[in-house]
Amino acid sequence: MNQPDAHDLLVTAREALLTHLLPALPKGLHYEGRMVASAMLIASRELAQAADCTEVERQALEALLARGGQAVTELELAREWLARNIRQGAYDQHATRLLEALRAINRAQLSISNPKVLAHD
Amino acid sequence: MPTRHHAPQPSARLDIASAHEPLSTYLTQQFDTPPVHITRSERLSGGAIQENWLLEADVAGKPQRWVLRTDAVSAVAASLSRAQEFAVLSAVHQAGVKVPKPLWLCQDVQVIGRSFFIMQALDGNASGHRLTHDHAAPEGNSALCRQLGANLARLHQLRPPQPALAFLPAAAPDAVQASVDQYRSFLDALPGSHPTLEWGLRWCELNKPAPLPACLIHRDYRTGNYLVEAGALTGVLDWEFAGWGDPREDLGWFTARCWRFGRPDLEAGGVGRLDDLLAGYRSVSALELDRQALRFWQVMAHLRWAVIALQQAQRHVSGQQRSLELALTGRMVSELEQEIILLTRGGHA
Repeated sequence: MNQPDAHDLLVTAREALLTHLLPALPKGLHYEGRMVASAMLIASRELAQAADCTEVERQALEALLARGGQAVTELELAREWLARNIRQGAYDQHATRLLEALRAINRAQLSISNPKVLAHD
Repeated sequence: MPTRHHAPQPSARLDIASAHEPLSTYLTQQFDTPPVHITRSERLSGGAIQENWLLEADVAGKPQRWVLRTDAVSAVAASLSRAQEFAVLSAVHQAGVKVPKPLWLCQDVQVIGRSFFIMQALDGNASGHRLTHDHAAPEGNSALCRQLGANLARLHQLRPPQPALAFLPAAAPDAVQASVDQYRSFLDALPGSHPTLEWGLRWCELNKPAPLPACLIHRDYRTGNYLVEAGALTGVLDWEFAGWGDPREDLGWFTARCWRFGRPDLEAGGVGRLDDLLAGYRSVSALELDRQALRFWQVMAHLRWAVIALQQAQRHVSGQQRSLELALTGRMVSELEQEIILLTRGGHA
């Protein structure tokens, strides 16, 4: 495998951007510079955590779908099944397990997109 | 504005910075006094759909500062036209809402190649990050929150029918259900499925309060869309999404956690306490709304922003408008989903 890996490259490039490039950029470009740094940070976290995140979602959906007599073949199909059932009112009376599953998936996704806000819970 | 008996051929679309001469001529026609000379123009920040330009002018030796608002190149049909926005701005200005005073509407495309209107330039800062960092006090800016509340209540005093606003679509008898239906149709038009947003929409459908009589609402009344100078409100901006609706929608949008920027602990838009905002509101309006009732409208606010964020991300992903800002907006959706989950399971944002 090539070294350093993609995660390391992004983290190192981001550090160079924030330490050396951003202070030298004209003020009018700082917002864009910070957006670039933010995109690199999310991408680096996704490289490290995407597999775990997918696994959390698969397990959460499997538990919900099994109760509805369904098996998870593809994640997108499972999401579609769940979304349709929610819209049709299948969880109106018993939402506790649904909310636990949605929250578990949400936490895994936030740990990539914006882990800072996880503390709000 | 000159009247014409034939459809005018639009002149070439002019950049404002290179249109000082035709603009000066147009403005001179609006005054009985000696000529108007535009001395400087500057594009103001913000507004991907609209362009805002600060104009500095000399009128008979007296300096004037105006803001010209016109469609940007990437204008979309979803919001009000400039003529309609001018009519809304005029109506709310007359109703005593703090806004930049609307001055002239020009629909003659001969002048700069597109419609525009000109309003008074107000002092102040609108940056959400700046405004929410300026309040070191734990309780934020109480006076500003009262002004924002009272101002919003004054807007909500405007009720249909208003002949000057006849172009606004009629209010839906059940505004919440109309929004839920609309957001579902938006989701159906996007790729993928979104169980958390579906849950939020279903929860709203099951928990909706009885509708209130419709009034004029801003639909983007939040920190970032008003100007503050020396701690006081100078004016509310960006009226392009205004329409008839439920007054509580604006209060939910203003107080939703997603619009608190650097101070999520300050429920009133990151600038102050909810009690101050509601006290200001009640100084003008009899509407009673407590924190518990507001929770529903905050769920609606997060749903609306999440659906818009998905649409914006799709504009990037589909290649319609490649943009880093739109791409990052897509990555905000899980934060909005977190609020929907926390609010609908009984917590408060």
